[in-house]
Amino acid sequence: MKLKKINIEGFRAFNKSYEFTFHERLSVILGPNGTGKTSLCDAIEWALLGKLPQYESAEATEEDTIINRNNPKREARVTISLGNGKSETKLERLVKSKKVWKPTRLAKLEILEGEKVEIIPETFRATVYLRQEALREFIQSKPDKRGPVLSSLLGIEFIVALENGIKEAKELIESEIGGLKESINGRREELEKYKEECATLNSLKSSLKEKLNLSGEELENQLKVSSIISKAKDMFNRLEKIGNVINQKMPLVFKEDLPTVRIFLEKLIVMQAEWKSKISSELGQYETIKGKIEDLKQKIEKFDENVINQDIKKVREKIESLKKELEVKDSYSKVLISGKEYFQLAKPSECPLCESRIDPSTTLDRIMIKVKELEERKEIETLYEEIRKLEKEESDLKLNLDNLRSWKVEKEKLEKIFDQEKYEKIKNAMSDYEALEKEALTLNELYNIFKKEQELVQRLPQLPSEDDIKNDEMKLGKLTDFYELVSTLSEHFSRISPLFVQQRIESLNPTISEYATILAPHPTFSTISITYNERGYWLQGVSGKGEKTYVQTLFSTGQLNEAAVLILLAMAKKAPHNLDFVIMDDPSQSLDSDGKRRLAKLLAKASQDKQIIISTMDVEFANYIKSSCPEAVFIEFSAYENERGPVVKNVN
Amino acid sequence: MTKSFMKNETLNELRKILVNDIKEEGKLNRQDFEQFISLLDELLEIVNGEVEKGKTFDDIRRTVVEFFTKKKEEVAT
Repeated sequence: MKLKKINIEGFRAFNKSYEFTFHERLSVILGPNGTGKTSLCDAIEWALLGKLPQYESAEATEEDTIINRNNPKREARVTISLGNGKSETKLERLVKSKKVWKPTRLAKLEILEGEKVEIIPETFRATVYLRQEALREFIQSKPDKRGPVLSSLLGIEFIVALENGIKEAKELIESEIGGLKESINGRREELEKYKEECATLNSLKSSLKEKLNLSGEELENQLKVSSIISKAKDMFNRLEKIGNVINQKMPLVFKEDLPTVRIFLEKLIVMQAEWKSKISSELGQYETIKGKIEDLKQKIEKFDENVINQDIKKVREKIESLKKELEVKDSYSKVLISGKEYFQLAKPSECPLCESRIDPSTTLDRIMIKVKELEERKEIETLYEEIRKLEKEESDLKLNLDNLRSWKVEKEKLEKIFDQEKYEKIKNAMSDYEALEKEALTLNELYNIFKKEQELVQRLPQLPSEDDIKNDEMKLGKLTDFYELVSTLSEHFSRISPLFVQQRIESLNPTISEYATILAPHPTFSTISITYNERGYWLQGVSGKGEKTYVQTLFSTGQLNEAAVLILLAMAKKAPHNLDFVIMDDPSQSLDSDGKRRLAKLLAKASQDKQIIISTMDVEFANYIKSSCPEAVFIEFSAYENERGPVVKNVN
Repeated sequence: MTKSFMKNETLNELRKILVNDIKEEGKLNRQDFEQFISLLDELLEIVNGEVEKGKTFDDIRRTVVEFFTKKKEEVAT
């Protein structure tokens, strides 16, 4: 259906009521900037779609963008008539100010005659209306941003949006599944850990029960706060007493509460080494003295000074006696030796007394016999030997006596420094401390068990619920199934969407090519086409020899302008709807004189396939259209009046 | 009942190709396939609604994400 007529009142630039009739091939809305040309194009879009998304913003309401601010009725009304020779459709779009009319998202549409025209905004923008902003965006974008704009021109932008949305949703679900798995595993681990901790606690309790030989009830009684505090207090008092003995102060003041018990047990660990070492050292010193005293005592007990003195006396007497005996024997020996020497030298003679003959040899023989007897008996050596022995014995006895006296002195000295009472106290302190050490271990165990039990009880309400975990596991299963479905969709979508786009492009390219031969946007390339790869959409120039080149970065702004027009015309020709016209707002915006001439020629040719409505301020371009298509209708605005709207200079 | 999105030539064509692709692959069982088609049709219907309202690229992407989020919540409860 072609656009036949439009009535506008109160819409954007149009305050008063206007009516325009379009030529079945080519109509040109001509006028300077700000006279209402774009408003006329927008009026067609608004009548068909009920919205102008290009003007939507946070600052402007629908009323601000649609209703002419000077309109006394505070309403916008656009009526368009469409027809294809066989049937006619007349529809009216109306919106009133919010003050008098409750607004809806879409302005009210009334089909006055004929059937409803069905077209979606995306298709409308891709195949019917080339807005000057869209054209400018395509021309002025950076080359790498031109792909998405091209996809928008091709009307397939939403496929990419759909594909990206599915991918994003898939990733979100994947992430949620991951999070849920992690949460389930975390909670399971927490429960397991809790169970393990309970088992460990029970095992500790059993072991302590056995160690202390207690019944279950007795152990539970000992695990009560009052019992633990009482035990700790008792230990504290006993330690304080030990501290007094070894001059050590308790490192804390005992308060009857659990925190104090905890600190006390901690301090005990530090005290243990220091205190025990001090007690041991002091006790060691006393034990050493005591040992020495005992030793001396034993030694002293072995000897009796009187006995030793008597023994010395006896030995001395014996020595003296032996010495006398030795003296006698020694004299006798000396006499014999003198006799021997004498008679060895003497000659036989007469005795002066008896005058008998004296033979010295006989006497010598007798002396020799006596000497021999004396030597053989070894009496003198024996006596010497015996005396030496006795003297040694005497010396030993004297030494013993000396020792005994010195031991007695030493013993007395040690006994003076040995404080039996202090020794007993330290000894008791040591045994107390050793007993306390064992009790401290038990108290520590009791305290740790008590604390652990308390902690477990406190944690119990915060523990993850088994039911919740099971529910989440079921949820995980369902989510995983759903994820599989979304994943399948995403995978297939990613696979088919490029093919789909390729098909779409391939169906357009022959028409683009056909129109490009008329427009000839670039001297090197006989025609252009669109191509698509994983990096996006591309304009491709095809040389006379059939060589293809990506030209998005090669084309000038004018050449890009022409390419965009070619795409719209091709899209319009292939459009799936029954709107048989295209609107181009300022299509020559970046063209030079020759470009405008060629574009006018192309539009004249294309208008044989589709009705074309051009909005332009370019008089030169308008003149080229007039030359190329003399029957074209020109709606010419000369100025703009606030109270009325565009000043229509001429319609022919 | 004819779905509204079927009037959108692009979406309709896209659906056909997608469904054929899934069928050819043949990995989904009958029940999953039916579930898949139902999900796809529901999605395309919503996307079509957004396209008809002239929503932007980002709006449509967000709507798709919201659709799956909602579906996911329905499935999980």
